[in-house]
Amino acid sequence: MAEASSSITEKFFLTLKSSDGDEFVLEESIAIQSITIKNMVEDGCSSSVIPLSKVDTETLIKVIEYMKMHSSTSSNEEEIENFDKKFVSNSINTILNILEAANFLDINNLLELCAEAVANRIKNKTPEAVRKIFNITSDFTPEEEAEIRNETPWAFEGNLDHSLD
Amino acid sequence: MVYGEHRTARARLRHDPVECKIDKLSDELLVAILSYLSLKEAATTSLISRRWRYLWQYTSGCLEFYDVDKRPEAALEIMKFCCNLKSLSLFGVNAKEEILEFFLSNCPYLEQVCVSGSECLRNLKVTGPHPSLKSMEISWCHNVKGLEIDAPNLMSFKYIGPDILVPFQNVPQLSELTIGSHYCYSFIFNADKHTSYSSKLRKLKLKAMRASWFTLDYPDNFPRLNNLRELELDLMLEARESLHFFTFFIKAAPLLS
Repeated sequence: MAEASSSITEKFFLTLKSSDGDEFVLEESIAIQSITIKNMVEDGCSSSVIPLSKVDTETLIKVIEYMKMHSSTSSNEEEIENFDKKFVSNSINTILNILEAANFLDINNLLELCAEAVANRIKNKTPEAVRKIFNITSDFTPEEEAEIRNETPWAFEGNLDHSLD
Repeated sequence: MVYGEHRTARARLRHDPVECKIDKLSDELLVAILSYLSLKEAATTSLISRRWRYLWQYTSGCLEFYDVDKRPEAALEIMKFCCNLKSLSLFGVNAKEEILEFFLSNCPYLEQVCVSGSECLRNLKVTGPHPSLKSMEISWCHNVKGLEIDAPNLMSFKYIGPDILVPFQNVPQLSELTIGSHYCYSFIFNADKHTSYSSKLRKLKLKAMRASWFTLDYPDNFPRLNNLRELELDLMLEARESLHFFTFFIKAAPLLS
């Protein structure tokens, strides 16, 4: 009896639509790692296509790749760890897009993975190097800069890294 | 105009290299990123741009001092920024008890406190109580005379140092203990003094033991360690020595696997 009931477990599929208009069909059990999607499914809004207006195709492909790896019962801990390591080696702009998508889709472990990856690019860098890595333009006057260095001198002590790696 | 369009198209092809994506993130996400840095590392980002200037103060990061800044006042200087602090580590900083007690009473979210290698720490009182405090380490502070700890949610404690009276007043959750040096000697040879908490321990690590102890008779009637599931011994053995000395633990702890 138990065998019969497990073999007829029906698989449900959802269609996710990126902001570029591309559609992706995904097993519901995988997609509901996103709390946003899970809530939509529970509210009965998932019968047709789920539009994800804030996620572009390139980012959605990565997010789906991540969800598939993390939901699969066939992947073991080591595989997941290696996958995550490779995943965070995506370009910094890709990681930032995924971070935003993970926040919108409410996938907490993906959000944490990306936030830590971004933090690792900032860690021990000089403010100048961080600006270059992320294309940030400083809007400080030299006086303001001096004021900040004066306020928290301990924050700029030690050997900070100038490189952009 | 044409030039401008051309440039935009190329930029898009190369995934907008000139675009500043990180500044499109919400403050909330930037703070989430900064929370993966230590407080010092996060504070460095105050100099990036006006938007970043105060973001780091919203993080709930960790604060670590190494002996590069021997000045304990540096810890006080930055106090005003870190009432959200979750973790404080002082390595080789000559921190007095006043500094620690100041942090403990001003940072209600402190979960982890570590002081290692302070020559000035003598009598520390962690009474309050401190409901957030989960983990504490006091190690290699050779002048410690006494500790008093009242922390209802403290789960893990590490103490390596001189023999002192049992420091625990109210630690019902304490399950992981690492001890070393003279306090460890007392735990083994004056075990009766430690029964108020030893029977609740699930994990015990013994460090910095002297080889000469193992030539002494091992304690008979060692009190039962009924919850102990893990025992770790960190010691150097000469070729002729054996771990035979520690068999009394096996007898005392029925759940040791």
